[in-house]
Amino acid sequence: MKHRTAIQICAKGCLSQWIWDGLRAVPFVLALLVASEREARAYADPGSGTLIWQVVAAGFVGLLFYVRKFTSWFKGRKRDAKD
Amino acid sequence: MTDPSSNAAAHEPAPSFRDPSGSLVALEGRILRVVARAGVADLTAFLNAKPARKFLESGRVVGTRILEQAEVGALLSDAAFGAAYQALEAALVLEHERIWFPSYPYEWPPEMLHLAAQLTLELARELLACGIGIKDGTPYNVLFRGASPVFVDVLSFERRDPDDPTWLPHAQFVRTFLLPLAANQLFGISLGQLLTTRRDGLEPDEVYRWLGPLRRIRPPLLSLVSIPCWLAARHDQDDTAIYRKRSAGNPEKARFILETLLGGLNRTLERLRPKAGRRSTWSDYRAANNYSAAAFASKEAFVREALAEFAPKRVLDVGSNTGYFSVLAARAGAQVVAIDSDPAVAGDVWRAARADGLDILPLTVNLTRPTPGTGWRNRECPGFLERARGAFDGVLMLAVVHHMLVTERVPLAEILALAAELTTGIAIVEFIGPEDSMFRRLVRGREELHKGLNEEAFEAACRRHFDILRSRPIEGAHRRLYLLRRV
Repeated sequence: MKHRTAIQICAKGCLSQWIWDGLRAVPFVLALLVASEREARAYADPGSGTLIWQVVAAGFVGLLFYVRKFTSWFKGRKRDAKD
Repeated sequence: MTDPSSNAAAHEPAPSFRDPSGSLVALEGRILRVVARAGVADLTAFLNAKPARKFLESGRVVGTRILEQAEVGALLSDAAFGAAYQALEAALVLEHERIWFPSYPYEWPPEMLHLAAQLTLELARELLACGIGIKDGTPYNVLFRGASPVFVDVLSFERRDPDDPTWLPHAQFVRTFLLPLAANQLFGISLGQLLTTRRDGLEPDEVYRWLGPLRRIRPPLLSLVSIPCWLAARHDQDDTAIYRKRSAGNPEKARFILETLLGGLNRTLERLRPKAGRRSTWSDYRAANNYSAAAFASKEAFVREALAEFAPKRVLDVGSNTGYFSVLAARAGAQVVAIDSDPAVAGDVWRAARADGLDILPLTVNLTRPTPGTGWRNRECPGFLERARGAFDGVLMLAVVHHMLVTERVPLAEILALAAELTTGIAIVEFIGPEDSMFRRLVRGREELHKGLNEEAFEAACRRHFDILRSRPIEGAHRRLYLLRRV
């Protein structure tokens, strides 16, 4: 059985809590966006919404990158400790 | 018989003009790409990248050769080539493999658009590791060699800023690949209807209006259509901050973000994969015809013998349905273009060709209303007839002439005149008389319109353009097969 250090549990717990809070906010954000839907206008860039969405998603994925780095750093520490 | 490839120069496309880093010129059957000085470094980086070499060797990126200066000098006497060379202050000229029958996304069954999207994503993902990005995500970068996609625009690649986490072709990829596939899957709208007049694909706004409230929040439409629409509606269009170059501040992070994005697009694409065995008006046509097994075997033998005797190199199968005779021609060694107005049966032909590695290009084209020329001056993508005239030395018109005569009301003389324009060699045509049960089913009380139609009239119309080499009646049906050769 694998044993986790107290810091690992705490760090993972905080992060997962943060991600869950983010996910629970998604329906409210969507509702807000739907409520404020407007007609498309002339000269509007058809790709602007997709680009903004890509930037927002990249922000989330960027966070995931640090989560991955964090977990692999702990795994490395654990391996070193065993050796 | 004239070699159909000798007619290639007669229907050359106009030189391309959209990309400032290069222009494509078709010259006496050769495909040449003039590259401006500004485009050379990106092109060289791409050609030297290991994944690019793999794609080039496998034929999934078009065959490319850099011409020697002496070869370029010899070409400069041609006016069109010289003009393109001067205008771009060219630094390099490439010669590409010629894809003998170009086809466009609005002629493809959805299976082919899906495969073109897969190839585009695969290239983007594999080249990312070598620091090379793809500038545009459009199906016009892809042609088909038989049933296999070939990425043809080698100037679509650039050295990317390693810190940049943005995939700029994302919106175009969504508009030109994912949304047409989604609209096809959800509403059954053909790619011809969606893309013939929409060069840049479907805008999220347009698709949003087609969706009900539940579909708007269902993946993948939520992220492909609804969220971009809501965000665009709230975005001030005069605010150009979203277009500024971004930096993740760390190449590893930027690459992780891009790999995740491309992986997500690949999963979305997988959800939009066209399903096999889609049923349509024509998918059961061959099983529902009025031949006995013996009569069908006799028809098959007639076609097989003609193909063996004349060995056409390039065959057009008009009204191919599920492609039985296209397969026969391909197995006899011909390169086949199989056209049918029904995208579902064209999709079936593509699956059969892909599974057995047969050289068949299935296209959704109705010969009575062929694809028009599109783009600037209607010349960027030539119409179907412009590409097809004289491009074949064999034409099959089996169980199709009565549809053109009755449903589309095209006169018999016109049908045979067009057949003669398409082939430089033979045509195998099935005549179906007004007494035939299928003909009667189509006529529906308008028999008067076809009262003069009989074998004698058909043969007289044939003789204006063809020699009738032989004919054979199909037992149990009022039909006769003709083997014709261009006069």
